[in-house]
Amino acid sequence: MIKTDRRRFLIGASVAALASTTSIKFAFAADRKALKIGVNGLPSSLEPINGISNTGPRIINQIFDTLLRRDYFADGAKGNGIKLMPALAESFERIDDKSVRFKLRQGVKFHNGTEMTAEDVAFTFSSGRLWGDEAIKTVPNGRNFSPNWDEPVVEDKHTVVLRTKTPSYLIEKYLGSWLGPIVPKEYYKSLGAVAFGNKPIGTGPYKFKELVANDHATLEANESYWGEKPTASSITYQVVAEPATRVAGLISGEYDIITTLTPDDMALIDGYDDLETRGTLIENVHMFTFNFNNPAVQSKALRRAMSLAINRPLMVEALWKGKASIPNGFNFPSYGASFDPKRKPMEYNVEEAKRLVKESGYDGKPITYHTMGNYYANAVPALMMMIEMWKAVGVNVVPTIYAPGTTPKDSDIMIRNWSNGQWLTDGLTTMVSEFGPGRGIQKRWGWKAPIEFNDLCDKVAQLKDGDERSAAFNRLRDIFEDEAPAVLLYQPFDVYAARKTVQWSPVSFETMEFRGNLNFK
Amino acid sequence: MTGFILSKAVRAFAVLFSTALFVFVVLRFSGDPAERMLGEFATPEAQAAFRTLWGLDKSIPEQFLIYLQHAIQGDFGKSFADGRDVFDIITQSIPKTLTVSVSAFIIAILLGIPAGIVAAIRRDSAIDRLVMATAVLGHSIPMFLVGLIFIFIFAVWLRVLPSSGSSTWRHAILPIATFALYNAASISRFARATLIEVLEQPYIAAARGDGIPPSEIILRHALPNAAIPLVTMLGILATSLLGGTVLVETVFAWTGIGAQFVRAVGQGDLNVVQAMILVFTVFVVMINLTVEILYAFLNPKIRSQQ
Repeated sequence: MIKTDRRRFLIGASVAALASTTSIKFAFAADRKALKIGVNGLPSSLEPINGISNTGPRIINQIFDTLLRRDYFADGAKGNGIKLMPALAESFERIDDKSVRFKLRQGVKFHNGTEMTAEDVAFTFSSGRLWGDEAIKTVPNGRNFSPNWDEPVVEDKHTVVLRTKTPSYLIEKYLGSWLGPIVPKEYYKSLGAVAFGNKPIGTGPYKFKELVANDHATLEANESYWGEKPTASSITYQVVAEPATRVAGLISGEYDIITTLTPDDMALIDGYDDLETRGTLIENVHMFTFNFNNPAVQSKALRRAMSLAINRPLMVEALWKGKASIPNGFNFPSYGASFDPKRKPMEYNVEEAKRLVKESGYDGKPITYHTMGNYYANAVPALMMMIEMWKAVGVNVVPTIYAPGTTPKDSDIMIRNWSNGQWLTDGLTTMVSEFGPGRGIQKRWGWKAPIEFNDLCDKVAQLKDGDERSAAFNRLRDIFEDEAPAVLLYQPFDVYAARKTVQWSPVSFETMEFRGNLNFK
Repeated sequence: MTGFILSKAVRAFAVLFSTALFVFVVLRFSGDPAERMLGEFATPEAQAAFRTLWGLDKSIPEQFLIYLQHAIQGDFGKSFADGRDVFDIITQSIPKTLTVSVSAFIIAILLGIPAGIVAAIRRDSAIDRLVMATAVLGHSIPMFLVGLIFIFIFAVWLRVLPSSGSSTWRHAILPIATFALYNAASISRFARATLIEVLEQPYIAAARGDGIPPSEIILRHALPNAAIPLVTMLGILATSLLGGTVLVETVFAWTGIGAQFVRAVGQGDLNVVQAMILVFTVFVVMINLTVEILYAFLNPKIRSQQ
């Protein structure tokens, strides 16, 4: 017989009442799992700009928010959407061709409990932190990744105007890129950029807990996140540099997700019932480029011949199991309005290549091609295939493979391989940002671009999307293919693997997105 | 003995100084750290600011003098990569490496020497062949591959041990086993060969003729005479305790000094690289010094010469 009394009843009722208000939270916390990811490396710094690399954004993206967020899954996109959604900015309006006003979401707190205000946003994009002569000493790439910023203007606690000195209709896109994470002004200034990178604070769904260099980084759920609550209790990024060990760690159950595999690993992993690979084309392009200061590769006809001699579909089939993608020129779907879906494919024409080699007056002397091992996936086998293709048209290329940690002298280089992440959802990256006037290929590597190319670069940087801009981009692509300051190869395919119980999809840029994209079965 | 130690110390100092100078100069010619650290996208202005910040814009002799001045006071500078004190990076990673390497070394000695003795005593028997076959296999399979085989057996197949990381004692088992197997194989082969050579000496035959029991011949006559070459060999192996675990650390994602060294080399983090090479050198010099002192204790002839 169940006995009860008034005291017990009151205690029971109190517990029930308390439980009714907190049960969801308790259940939520209990259901959440710690996510463990086996990664190829960690960034040295989690300062958002200094951490830009192929390992940094996947962590930085969880700690920080941006004013506008790229929604990779918008409108049913499968991880490659480019739509920008309001995030820390509740709304925004373009004032003119150089400025945009942002109304900030109110009540958003940094992980240390201070409120995020317009002062923090203004500081984030100020010359003092990002692009000025002093900032370059501690945030070296801030200016390089920036548009032509002017100082931001704070209108009130929750309103800020971001401005550029020259017209730019890309301000919004920059804010949704890896340039955009908002940092807390006072905390950042009290530590300085370097120390901030070892103990970062943002407004994101996960809080920084620990970074042990070259070993692991741990984040924990930010319970007071302003957006959709984080679905993992913590995220640990464990460095496992050796790919075979990463795969073993996934099979043995130590990791929920592993990163940075190649298509060759897919069959093994997909053979396990509880595991699967999840791959995606990433917004990056493998290429090789020239040192124009070296007479050996100054002939446009020779460079063009080397491009025409490459059988890209064969390379994609042999090295990437058909999963890499060959772009139609410097032209990717992630460019949005500046992508031309009708552009013709890059040409493969052995006979024309032979004719151009003859025309170039190439004397058969060996041309060196530098690659830092397989730093870029499949770099060495790709080079070996191309050497044979070039041999078939009469060009003698010899490989120079150098070790990580060494950098050959510029003057020793004739050709080198390279990859460019297309980090802005616009055609400006990287045909303009790397090959344009004053940029590395012209300034450092000596490419004397046609005047028309440089004029068009200035034009597309300032024009609004539309027919005129699209036509300018297509003309730039024509000049690029004719001049061949670099030869594009393919868009690589990035492979992850995960437990089937982890509902998560990779996205098309070198980052990981867990907002609305992580659940455990 | 004091004079002996002093002369060795002077020699050790000369080795350290010349290593520091050599490494410093070679690293300055191995490429531009500004480019390695800041990446391809960095502007020339940013690279110039980086060089000024770290004093890389000064002449190499000037840089070396500044470096020496600080190093003498125990200040090896800061990491180019994350601004951490190089001394802290090294002191934090050495214990991790030594946990694996010293444990493995002790296990290797405990396995290798008895195995070598048994194989020598039972020469040409089935036990000898089994021990030597195992030793040859252990020594000839690359450590990297042994590590992956262990991972496959114990982490993937049996699922009893973790494959990577360094957060618990269980994570240390496979790296220790891998490093121990490799060293035990070397030790057992060498112990066997040395002991066989000693057992063929006339004084051993004489001892046998005198009717001394075999166990006493081994313990009192053979082993002490085999000790010096064995100590020399153990000394050579011991020099790899700090820097020799690079492969094991890479395979098992064990963040010791080897893994940190690989990272620093890859990034062009010169302050960390040169300090680590100096630490490796100090370690090797100390091991060599210890071995030479041990010789003096083990061999009265060497002691009397000094």
